[in-house]
Amino acid sequence: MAKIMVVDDAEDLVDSIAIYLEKEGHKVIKVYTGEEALRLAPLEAPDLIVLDVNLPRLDGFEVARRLKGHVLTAGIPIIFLTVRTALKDRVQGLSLGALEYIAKPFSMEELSKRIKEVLARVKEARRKLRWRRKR
Amino acid sequence: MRLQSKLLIILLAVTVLSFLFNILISLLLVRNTLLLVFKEEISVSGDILRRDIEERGRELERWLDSNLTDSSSLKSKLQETRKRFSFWKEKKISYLQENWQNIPDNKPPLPLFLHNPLSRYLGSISQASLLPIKRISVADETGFLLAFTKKPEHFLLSREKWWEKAKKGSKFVSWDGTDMCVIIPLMEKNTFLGVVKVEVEAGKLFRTLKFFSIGETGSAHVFLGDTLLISSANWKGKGGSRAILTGNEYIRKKWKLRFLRSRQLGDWRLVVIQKREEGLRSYREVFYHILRQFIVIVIGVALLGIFFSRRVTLPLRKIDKFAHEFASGKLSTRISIKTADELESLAHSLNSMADRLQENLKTLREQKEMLEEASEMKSTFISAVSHEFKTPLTIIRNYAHLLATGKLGEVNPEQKERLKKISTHAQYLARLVDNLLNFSRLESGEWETFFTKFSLRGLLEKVKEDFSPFAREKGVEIVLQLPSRLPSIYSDPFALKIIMDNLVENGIKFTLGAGKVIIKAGKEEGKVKIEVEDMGIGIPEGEENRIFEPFYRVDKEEARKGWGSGLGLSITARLVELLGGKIAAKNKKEGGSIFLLWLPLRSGDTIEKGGKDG
Repeated sequence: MAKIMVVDDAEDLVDSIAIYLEKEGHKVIKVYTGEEALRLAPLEAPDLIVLDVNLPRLDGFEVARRLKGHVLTAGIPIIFLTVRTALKDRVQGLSLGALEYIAKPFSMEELSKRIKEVLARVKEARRKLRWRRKR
Repeated sequence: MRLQSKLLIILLAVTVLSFLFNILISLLLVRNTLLLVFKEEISVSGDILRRDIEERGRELERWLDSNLTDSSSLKSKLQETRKRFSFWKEKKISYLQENWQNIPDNKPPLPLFLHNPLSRYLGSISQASLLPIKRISVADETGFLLAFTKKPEHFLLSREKWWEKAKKGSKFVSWDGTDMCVIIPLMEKNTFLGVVKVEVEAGKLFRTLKFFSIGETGSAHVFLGDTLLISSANWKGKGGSRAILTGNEYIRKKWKLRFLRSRQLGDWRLVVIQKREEGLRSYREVFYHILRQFIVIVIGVALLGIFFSRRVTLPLRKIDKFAHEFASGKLSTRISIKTADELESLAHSLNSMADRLQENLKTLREQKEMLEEASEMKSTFISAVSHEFKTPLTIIRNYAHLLATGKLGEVNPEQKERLKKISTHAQYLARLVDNLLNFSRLESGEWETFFTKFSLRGLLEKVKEDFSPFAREKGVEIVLQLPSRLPSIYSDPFALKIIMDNLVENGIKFTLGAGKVIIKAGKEEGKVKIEVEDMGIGIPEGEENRIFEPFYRVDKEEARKGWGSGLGLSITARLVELLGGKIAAKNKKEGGSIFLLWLPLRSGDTIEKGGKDG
């Protein structure tokens, strides 16, 4: 259905999410570091990136900022995964153009639901854009 | 008022008062002394004058005695001259009576009077004398003048009022105006021969009196009866002499003749006067002298007072400064006073107090820093640990879920049930970690509120959605009972979400077996009222308020089977307080408990139109 990049340094978390999403029919690209995410994102051009905030060396916010700064990856929607729930972290995440902000621990149903919502929103936006171009 | 000024004023006042008292007394004494001295001076001067006058009188007496009284040559010459006149006298008397005034000295018969032996004798005596003798004349027993040194007014002494008295034969003094007339009867064997009349100018006799003076205004006066005989020259003024003589109070005052001494000297009266002002002139000088002294002493006392009061108040000011500095936080300040008295010992006490205070404060500060550090470490620790918990918990839940839902191959029902339990417990653990984090954040005051306008309905629906899986597992149903018109609320959505999560979780947790958790919301008295009702075990009797304390746990057998940190409701209560709301809990009659929550709407509320399910 969709190509989803899941970025988290916890390999088991990426694995469990990948199994669930693949069962649902998505194609999942497993990435474990911010650098790899930045390298792979333009190549793979995923429909969505699920990005952990607490990544070693290059954190999620920085990764998001760089992705948004790149012409090939700027349009990819991002869902943040985080253990931080303080107000300032939420505000920072959303200000970087993330469409969703999911606090750990989350259930897979929740994640799946959010992914569907985001994809639907993106699809709707693209449809409107196309329609406008035709006119 | 400053202490120094007070001391100074007291000192000066005492000095001035005592000095004024001193001045008063000394001035009185000086005045009386001066008056006494002055009176004495006048008295002494009067005595000297009197003695002088008496001396002159005696001189005259002696002269009279040696030259005129009992002088045989005078008597013989008298007889001789009388013989000369005896034939001539009777015939010429009438002529002389008529023409005496008009006959000049060189025309007859005057040379007869002036150039007879008796006249020549009188003239020689008179010229030899140093006394101011005006005239000496001699008359026979009938009063007819026989000889004179100078022509008198008339030639019959028998006309004068003293004539009969002279016949008695003793010497006496009679006065003719200011002239003193000494009458000496001449006797020969009890026979009255004639009279010698010596006229002396009194003014000249007492000429020393003319030069008398005491100071500038002091003067002396000699009176005979009420006639002023002689006066020292510097006394002037109309009516003055009478005033002097009579001692008339009014005139004496007018002329300011305060110092007046009079004394009787035979027929005369000697009066010595001086103006009062002069007598008191030295008194005024004394007064000014004392005044100068007074000013010098007052200035001196003032300077000394300033010096001494500074010495007294300087330590006090130091102590005051010290107290101010110490109070304003300069703890290292100390007093240095070397007065060797109570003030120095006070300063010592204050210094040692300051030492101890400083030490204690230092210890306290260190301890406080240590405590803060420990508290911070605790918070950091809790936060770090809690965060680290989250990822593994998510992984556990995910795998349990994957296994239970058969996504990784078929599992039998028993395995499935156990996998669901793993999932549930992981969920509990996750909530526990959340609560710990929130509690720690509230405790350390790091919680930031974020107020915004949001839909209450949306939030409550999200709560229901979040807890539905958990509730289903326990066989509990979550029911939302919302009115069609529910106001949107201006508040902190994250905080309210946590509040509602905790209340709903509690409701599910304490509902044993199948049941319902009912969420109601509505407006009440300008506030939003939210109710969460359950069918659980209820709250123990009398502990309706204790349940909001941290780490409170229901002490009931049924409850112990469940789990919980005891933090949920305490976090809830704190958050409600942060939002400016109120929370209460009570038991329902039919079993179970009900939590009531009131939240302010805040200003600018709008009424939300009926929702999807409205």
